Amino acid sequence: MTAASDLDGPVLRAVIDRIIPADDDPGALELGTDGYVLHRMALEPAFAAAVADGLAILRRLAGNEPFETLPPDRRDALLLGIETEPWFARLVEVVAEGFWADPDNGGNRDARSWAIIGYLHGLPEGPSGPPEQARP
Amino acid sequence: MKPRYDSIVIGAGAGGGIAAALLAESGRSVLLIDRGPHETYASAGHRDHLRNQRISTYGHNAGPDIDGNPRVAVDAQGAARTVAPHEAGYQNNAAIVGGGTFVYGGQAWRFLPKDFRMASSYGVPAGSSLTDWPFPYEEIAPWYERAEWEVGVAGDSPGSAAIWPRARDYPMPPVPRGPAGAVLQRGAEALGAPTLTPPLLINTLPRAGRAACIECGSCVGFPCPTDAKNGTQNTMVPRALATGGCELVTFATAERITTDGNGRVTGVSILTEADGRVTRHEVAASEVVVSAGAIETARLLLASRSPREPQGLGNAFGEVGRHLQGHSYPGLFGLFDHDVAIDRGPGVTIATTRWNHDNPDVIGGGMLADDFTVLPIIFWKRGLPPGTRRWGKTAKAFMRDNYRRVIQMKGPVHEIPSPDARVTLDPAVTDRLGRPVARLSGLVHPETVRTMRFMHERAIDWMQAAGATEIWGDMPPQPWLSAGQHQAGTCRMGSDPGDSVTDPLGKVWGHDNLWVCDASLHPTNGGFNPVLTVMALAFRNTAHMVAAA
Repeated sequence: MTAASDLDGPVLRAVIDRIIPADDDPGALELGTDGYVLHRMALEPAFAAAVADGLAILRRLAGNEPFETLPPDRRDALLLGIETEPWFARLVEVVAEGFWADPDNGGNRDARSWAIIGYLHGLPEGPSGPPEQARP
Repeated sequence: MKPRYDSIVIGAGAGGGIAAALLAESGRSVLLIDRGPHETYASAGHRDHLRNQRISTYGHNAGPDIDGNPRVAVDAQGAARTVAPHEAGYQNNAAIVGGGTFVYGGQAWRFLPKDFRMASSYGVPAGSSLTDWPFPYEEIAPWYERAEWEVGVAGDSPGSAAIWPRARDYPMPPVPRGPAGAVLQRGAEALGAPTLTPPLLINTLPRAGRAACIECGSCVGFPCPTDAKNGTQNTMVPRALATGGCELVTFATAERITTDGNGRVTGVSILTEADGRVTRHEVAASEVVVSAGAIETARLLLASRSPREPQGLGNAFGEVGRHLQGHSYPGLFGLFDHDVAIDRGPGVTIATTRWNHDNPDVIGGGMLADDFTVLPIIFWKRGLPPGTRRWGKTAKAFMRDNYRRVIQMKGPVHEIPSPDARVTLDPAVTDRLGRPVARLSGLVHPETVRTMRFMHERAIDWMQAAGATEIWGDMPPQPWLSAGQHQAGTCRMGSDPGDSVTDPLGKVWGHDNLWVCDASLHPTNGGFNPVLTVMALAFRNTAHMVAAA
């Protein structure tokens, strides 16, 4: 497997799953935040390349077992070891953007994250406001 | 666009919208231009929590565009870098009809009488350009009242009257107080600090043909779903257009103000953009009003060189662009053991002016208030306690358990201006139109840092007195340049042409027909959000223009 293919594969999702994990409430993967991350990486090739390199290191650290099939606590332990790496800090930031921002950004399906914390937007048309329209 | 108008107003924001209305209502033909578009809620109301005036991770909802609008920011070590509008150091303000008023929270504060005489009250610290305004509060008070009534402010009239001399109540009652207001009220009482509900440029009642606020809580940073928020784009600009004598042209940027051999202003060279094509228009006018914001106004005057004024219009003494200031905000978060969230309304509900003046050992002070409803992603980026692991179960649990139990408090500190904090023209970098860009350099004065630290401690006091179980939020580690949305001071009014850019009415020294009409005029910027002062000055100065003609 090449490093680049990790970007659209199970290793990346296995990392995102631990950045905002499911508990009694849904985590990042259930809200589609991985799609938002892929979108950002498509727009920022340098970020994508750094993440690809980072994921390759994680696969090496996982040894003979595939990172993505490790139990959550073992994945967390490996991520603790690399959490200060710039690529991971930026990935955490991007995952949070997708998960906590408005649903139209693509990472917060049905505004579920807002329901989790009790943010009530009060907009008449729904969480993202009116549909985008052409300028008058 | 016609070849000539009586008046050209450059920039349709808080100041320019009002100037255009009063000039057009006087019977003048007026050209009002703005570099940005004319939007409505329907076209620009889309709620992008990553692209707005509060959090611009990937851009802004009200401009300017990321591409083609660079500035140069010089850091504390003297290193210059080119920055885009959404990047740190740019000091952005909205580029759209209405300017910042299209997307602001609309806090509508008067400055206090003592704010107009800072140098007399405190002396002038070394290295600062602290000064008095060229007139007292009593001079501007009636114009504050006009702004409150004609643009539309909802406020706590008795609470305000206890703090400011004022002749007339606000036209509308204040926004409701929620749980945070009740908690902070108890804390303020324990400290002996009087409070009031912040005045807001928001309709709490149907008014002027528009609806009342529906309390959607999605206020600051975004346009209003019911048009209940009063900016110039839905109040004064429509008044200007209703005369039939004002033409509004969007995507139009002033390239330079033109003068004749005697230095008299003759018009404006304007660049319009449509379908990727730029067209230059030489438009004549009998008078020109510059209201482009403290950075762009200074930039335009500096770029409008002539043989008589080779350093730029009004800049014979090198004053244009200096004293750049804004508001340094102490800000902190307090955790409470119960739900303190307000589900309805703009979110800002309680303020105190107890520490704006008369503090021991510091110059001035500032207002403190709770904040507008905090977007979840802003809470995550700025509101997690230091040391919180930002990934994994902990961060998510903190968000779930505490988003509704945290109050954010902040407030603008009255800055002590420095002549070295300034706007100049960058010698190398140009924008998409080929205009030299604004180069921003200098730092806040050390006295501003001291006052900010003092106010930070007062905010901690207030949170503690209110019963916060945990309080966090730090002072910036390094000195900074302050400007941003409250940018001011770069064309200060004064009584002496040697140390100011305009006379006390905003007329540029040495020019009978050139005015500045925005926060550039503010000699100092108060310990309050400055927009009502921008509006009051616009009413006052334009009324004098009309009366003098």
